[in-house]
Amino acid sequence: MSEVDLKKRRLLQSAGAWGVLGIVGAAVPFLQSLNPSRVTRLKGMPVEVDVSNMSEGQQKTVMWRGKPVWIIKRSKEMLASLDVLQGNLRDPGSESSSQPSYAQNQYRSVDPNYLVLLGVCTHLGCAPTYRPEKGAIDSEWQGGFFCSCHGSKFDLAGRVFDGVPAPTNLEVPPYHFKDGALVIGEEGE
Amino acid sequence: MILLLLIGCFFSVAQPILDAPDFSYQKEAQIKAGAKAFAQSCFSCHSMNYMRTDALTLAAGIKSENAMAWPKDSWMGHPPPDLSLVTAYRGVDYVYSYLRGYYLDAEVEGGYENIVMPGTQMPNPFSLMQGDQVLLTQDIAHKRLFEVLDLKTKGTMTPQEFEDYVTSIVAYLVYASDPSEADRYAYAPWVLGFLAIFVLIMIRLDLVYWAEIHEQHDHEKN
Amino acid sequence: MSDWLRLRVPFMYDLLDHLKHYQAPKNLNFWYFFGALSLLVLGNQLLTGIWLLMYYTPTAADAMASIEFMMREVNFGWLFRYLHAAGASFFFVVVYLHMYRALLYGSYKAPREILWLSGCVMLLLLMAEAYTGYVLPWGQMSYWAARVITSLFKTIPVIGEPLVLLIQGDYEVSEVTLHRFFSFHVVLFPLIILGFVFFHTLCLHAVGSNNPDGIEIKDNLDAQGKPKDGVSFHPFYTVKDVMGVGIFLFIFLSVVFLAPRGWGLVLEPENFEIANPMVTPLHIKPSWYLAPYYAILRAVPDKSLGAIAMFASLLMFFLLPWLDRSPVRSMRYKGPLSRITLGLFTVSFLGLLIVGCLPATYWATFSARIFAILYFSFFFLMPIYSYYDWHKVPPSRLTI
Repeated sequence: MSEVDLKKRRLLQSAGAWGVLGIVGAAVPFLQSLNPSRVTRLKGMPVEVDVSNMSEGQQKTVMWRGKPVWIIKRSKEMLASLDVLQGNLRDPGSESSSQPSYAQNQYRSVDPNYLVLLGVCTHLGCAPTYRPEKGAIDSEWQGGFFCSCHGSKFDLAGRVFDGVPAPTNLEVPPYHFKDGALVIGEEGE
Repeated sequence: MILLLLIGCFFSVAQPILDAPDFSYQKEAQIKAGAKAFAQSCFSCHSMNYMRTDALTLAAGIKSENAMAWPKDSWMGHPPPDLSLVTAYRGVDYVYSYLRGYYLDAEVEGGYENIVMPGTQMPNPFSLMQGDQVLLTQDIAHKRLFEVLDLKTKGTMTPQEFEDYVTSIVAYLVYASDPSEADRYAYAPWVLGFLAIFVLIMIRLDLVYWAEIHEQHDHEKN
Repeated sequence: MSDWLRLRVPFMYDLLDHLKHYQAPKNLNFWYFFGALSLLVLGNQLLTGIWLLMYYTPTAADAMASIEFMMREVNFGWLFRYLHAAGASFFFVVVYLHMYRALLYGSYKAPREILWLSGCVMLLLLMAEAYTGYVLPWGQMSYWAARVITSLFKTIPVIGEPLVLLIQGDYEVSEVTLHRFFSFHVVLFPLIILGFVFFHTLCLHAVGSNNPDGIEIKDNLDAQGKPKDGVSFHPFYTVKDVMGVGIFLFIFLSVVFLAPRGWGLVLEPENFEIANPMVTPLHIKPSWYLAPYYAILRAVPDKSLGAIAMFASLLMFFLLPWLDRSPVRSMRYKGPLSRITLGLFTVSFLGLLIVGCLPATYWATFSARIFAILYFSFFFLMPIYSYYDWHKVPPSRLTI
């Protein structure tokens, strides 16, 4: 190979490399702009909810990042009912479900009295309804969540029953308690 | 002759020469101070609508929910305008000179006239800080502001303090009219440097390729 | 691979093959960058336009707010807006230089008349595209430019009034007009322009590129039937054009990053104020790239005649292939008369451009008239001076 050809090849390689680098660099702003804008990010900030005056069994729904988040104050009986149908659950220990580590327990919550769940069915994203009254759906029903879209059933900790389409337990968003208020969308320290 | 024609076109309007603000080198600190000054002196009447989520703006207490909502017919149908883009359409020097251009005029309602915008609706917001200026001559065409305006009574600020205060407000307004400036200046050297190197590579590549053609051509000629 | 493609998409294959082996004259200089560059800017406008569309709202109340929202809240939103706005101005810079090249080297002359005409149509389309795009931010200048230009059509006898009503969709320029201009700007004109770009390139490849010597390289073929003075487009001109692209991007991005308002030429100050049908800005001025024609409009003291003069100033370009009666193409071999008149035309075009941006004072109108006369004489007198002008005999082979 002649000297000229070698020089040509070297220059072609550097031009090619530089060109590819330029195109990748130019693509960055175009892709980055598709990410949420500053306004959207601010709107997606953690939500603070006052739960001090909730009565037992009451459900509160707040919106966080476009999704409903339920807060339910569970009574003693409700907590006790969680043990009754333990055997019919698909994932009682929440091993294959999505929740922060501090909510991976029997009550699926930090404070057993307060249940915080994303109100989105893990099957196809419908919104299940809160049915706390015993026997509302079937004779065994101990209270829980029922998705009328495809008949998925969850207990009062959002754990899914066997034999329904939903594959996993209802998701728990990151949350923590700060000065008595509930902060959704942010891990505690 | 053509040049003369064009020169003739430029010099036909009679106005005072506008002052240009002297922005400090610590731009960010000045803009922050300007946001505070804006919150103190301007925000009670003027909104800053396009800066809803700007951290610097919010830190100074300029929040759109606190902005004054004027009915359309207030101030004789000219409610105080939103100032997000004011330096963009009025010009930086214009706004700066306007803010420093109030002088005493007994014939005007409110007692102050403005040298840059005669008949302005805005009452002098700085009379306490700046003190009162008077107009020295009616012949203001092509004159600098300091040649025609004189400070008659002292304000709570020294002239230098007042100038810094107004300059910081203008610095903030310039920032608000295009917050991308800092980003742009930060990216520019990288982008342009990258392209400069690319051009150098391409020029060399071009010369190598075309040497072939020129050689061939010379060969054919001989 | 090539056989595989040739069998399946013969048309595409032939096209790519043709582009690759297209024989271009050896002596093309920097004036020949601007064709490729206008394609580059077109790409920039399409790409950034798609991104702008994700945030823009075409209503009177929200148009400007949506743009300012994009520039402040969206990641790199300012970049797309400035690329698009500066891109519009640079589009005209490269297109005017591209056309000027044709004037210099006689690229409009036979057999390239259709090539030239399709380019002229594209210039008009580009103006329509730029004008409808200019209205979209719905600032003071957007609104008043829309009013001034649409009212121009009123001067057309009989059909003028109903035509303006048809364009505006309202009794005065309003949100209805904004909506349809938006549609034209985003869909209609870009589609037509893309069609013409394709046609223009097709025409070019049929007749071949002209060159600074203005002679046909096809007249000197070697034994294989290849032009002796031609080189294949790839790699020789692809390398050159990429170099040109690099230089252009350096200048273009310098403006985008360091002076995105282009000293009031890219984004006019007046257009940062929201449209107000009650208050006319003190000084209505068009974008710089339309200023020469606007200056001609203002120079004529009669409304209808002014509008006719303005449209005529654009139509003149279409007649060029038949006005030039010189036996040679390139300015290199044309005589002093052609050179002087082209020089005067250059001065008058730039003069009209500057005057068109200034307030209509006595001196501005006066000089606009002189420039307008120079502008039109360049075209009207061309059959005479180009015919009687001295000229040199061009060489039979290219000078490199």
